[in-house]
Amino acid sequence: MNITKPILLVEDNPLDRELTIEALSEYNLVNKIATATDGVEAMEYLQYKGKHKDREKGNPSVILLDIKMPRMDGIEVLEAIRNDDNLKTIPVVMLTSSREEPDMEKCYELGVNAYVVKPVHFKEFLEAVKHTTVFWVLVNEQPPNKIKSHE
Amino acid sequence: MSGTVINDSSGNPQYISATAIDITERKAAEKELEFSNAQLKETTKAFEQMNFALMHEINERTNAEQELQESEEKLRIILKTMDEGVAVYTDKEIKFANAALCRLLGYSENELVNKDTESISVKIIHPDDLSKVNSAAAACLSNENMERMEYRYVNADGDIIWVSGIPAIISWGSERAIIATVVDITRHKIAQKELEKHSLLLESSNKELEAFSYSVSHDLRAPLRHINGYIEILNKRFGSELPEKAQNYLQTITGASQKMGKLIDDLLQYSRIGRQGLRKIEVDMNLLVEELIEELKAGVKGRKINWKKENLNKVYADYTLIRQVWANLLENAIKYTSKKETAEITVGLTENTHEYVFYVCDNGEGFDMKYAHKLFGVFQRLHSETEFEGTGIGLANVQRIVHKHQGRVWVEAEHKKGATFYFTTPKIREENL
Repeated sequence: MNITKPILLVEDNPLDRELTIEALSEYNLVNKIATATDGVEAMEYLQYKGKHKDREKGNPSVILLDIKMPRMDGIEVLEAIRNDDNLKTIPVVMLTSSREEPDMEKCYELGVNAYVVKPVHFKEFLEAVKHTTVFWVLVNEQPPNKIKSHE
Repeated sequence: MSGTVINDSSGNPQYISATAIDITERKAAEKELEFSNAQLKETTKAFEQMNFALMHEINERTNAEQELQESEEKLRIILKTMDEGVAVYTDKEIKFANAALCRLLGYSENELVNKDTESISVKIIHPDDLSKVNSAAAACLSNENMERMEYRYVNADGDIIWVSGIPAIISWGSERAIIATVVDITRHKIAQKELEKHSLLLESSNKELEAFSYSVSHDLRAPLRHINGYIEILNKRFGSELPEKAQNYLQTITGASQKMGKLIDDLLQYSRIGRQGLRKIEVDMNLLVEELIEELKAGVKGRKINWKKENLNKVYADYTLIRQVWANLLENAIKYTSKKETAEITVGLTENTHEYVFYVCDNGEGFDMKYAHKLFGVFQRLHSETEFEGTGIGLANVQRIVHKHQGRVWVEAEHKKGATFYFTTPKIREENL
C-alpha cells in the first residue's frame, strides 16, 4: 500500500523544505516524509547508498522533485530514475518555481507524472501540494510489477 | 509581182510592162527574221526578269548585310554597356571579354583576350572555387543543363569578388565555346554576412534574456513564496497571541508580496511573448470572442452589461496570442465600466484596403487623449490602483502581440465617456512572420 511508503522530497532550499513539509502535514498523511537536499542525495536514497545505505527497504510512494539544485538537478534525477528498472515506475512530481517551457518540455519528454509550479501564495501552494501528493499517494494505482522488467 | 502601163508620145497607152520576181526565199527569210525577233524579245524579257531578280537579291543582300551590321552593332553596344560581365572562351583560349568583366577584374581586354584559358582561370578564379567552375564548364560543354552558381573571383588588386554566373554554349567562328555571364554579388554577400552576424548576436542576446527570465522566474519567486509561507505559518501558530495591529501589518506584508509575485509573473509573460515564435492558424474571431464573452460574463454576474457583438471574420494568427489580445481588451472594457450603472461594450470589425480593423468600444471611464501615448508602455497606468486594479502590463502585451502579427493598435477615448481600442491584422497572409 502506498500509504505505508514514504514520500521523498528532494529540495535544496531549507525554507522550501520546511514549507512543503508544513503543507504536507496539513493533510494528515500518515506517510513518513524523507528528504534529500539535492539530486545526488536523492539518488543515494533511492539506491541505498551513502548515509541512506541502511534505510528501510522500499521505493517511495511519490517523489516531489525540485529542478534547480546544486550537483545534480531535478531533470537529471528524473532521467536517472526513468532509466533504472527498479525505480522507473515511481511517480515523480516536479515541484518547481520555474515555468520555463524548455524545462517543462524536457520533463514531459522524460515521462514526468506531473509538473507543478509552486504558487507564490501559500494557500495556493497548500492546495497544489495537497492535490498532487494526495492523488499520487492515495488515488493513483501504480503500474503492476511486471512492467518493471520491460524497457 | 508588179505591172506598169506604158504610154506613146501622145499619151495613149501602148502596152503594159509586167515583171514577176520569185520571192519565196525572201518570204522564208522574213519569217525567220520575225521568229528570231520574237525570240530576241523573249530573251530580253527573260534577261530583264533575271536582271530584276538579281537586283532584288542584291538589294536583299545589302539589306541583310546592313541588318547584320546593325545587329552586330547592337550586340556590341549591349555587351559594352551591360553591367554583367561576359566572357567567351574555349578550353584553349579566351575569345572575348566585355568591358564590365574587365572592370570587375581590374584587367584590360588585352590582358585577357587571346590568352591561355587555363592560366587566366588560375589567375582570376579563387583557388577554392576553381574546380567547381571548371567542372561546370565541362558539364556545360557536354550539353548538361546549367544552373546559376556562385563563386569567387580574385581581381588584379587581390580583392575577392563574389559573382553569380551561368555558362552556356555558343558558336564562336567555327568553334564551340562557352559564354559565361556573371553578376557582381559582393555587396549582397557582405550584407548577407552582416545579417548572419546580427542574427547570431540576436540569438545570443535572446539566450541571455532567456537565462535572465529563467533566473527571475526561479530566484525572485522563491523568496516571495517564503515570505508568504512564513507569514501564513506565523499567523497559524501565533496569530491568536498577536495584537490586532500586528495582524494588520502581516496582512499588508502578504498583500505586498503577492502583488510583487503578480508583477514578476506579468513581466515574465511579457518577455515570453517577445521571444516566442508565432504559430499561425486560421482563427475564427466570431467563435473566439463569443467564447471569451461567455467566460467573462461568469465573473461579472452582479453587473449590468449590454454586450454587442457585430459580425467578425476569420484571420490568420497565433490562436493563443490573439486570444490574449481580445481577453485583455474585453477585461479592460469590463474593468473601466465598473462605475457605470449599465455598461455598453461593443465588439466590431471594419476594414480598409490592406487590413482588417477590429475594435472594442466601451462607455466607461475613458481618459484624456493627451495621455494616450503612455497607454501601451510596460507598467504604465492612467488610473490609480485603488481606483482600478492591475499591474499595467496588459496593453503592453496587446501591442506586442499585434505588432508581432504585423498589425497596428491605437485608441480613441474621451475622459468619462469611454474608450475604443482598435487593432488591425494585415489582409495578406504572411506565413510565420
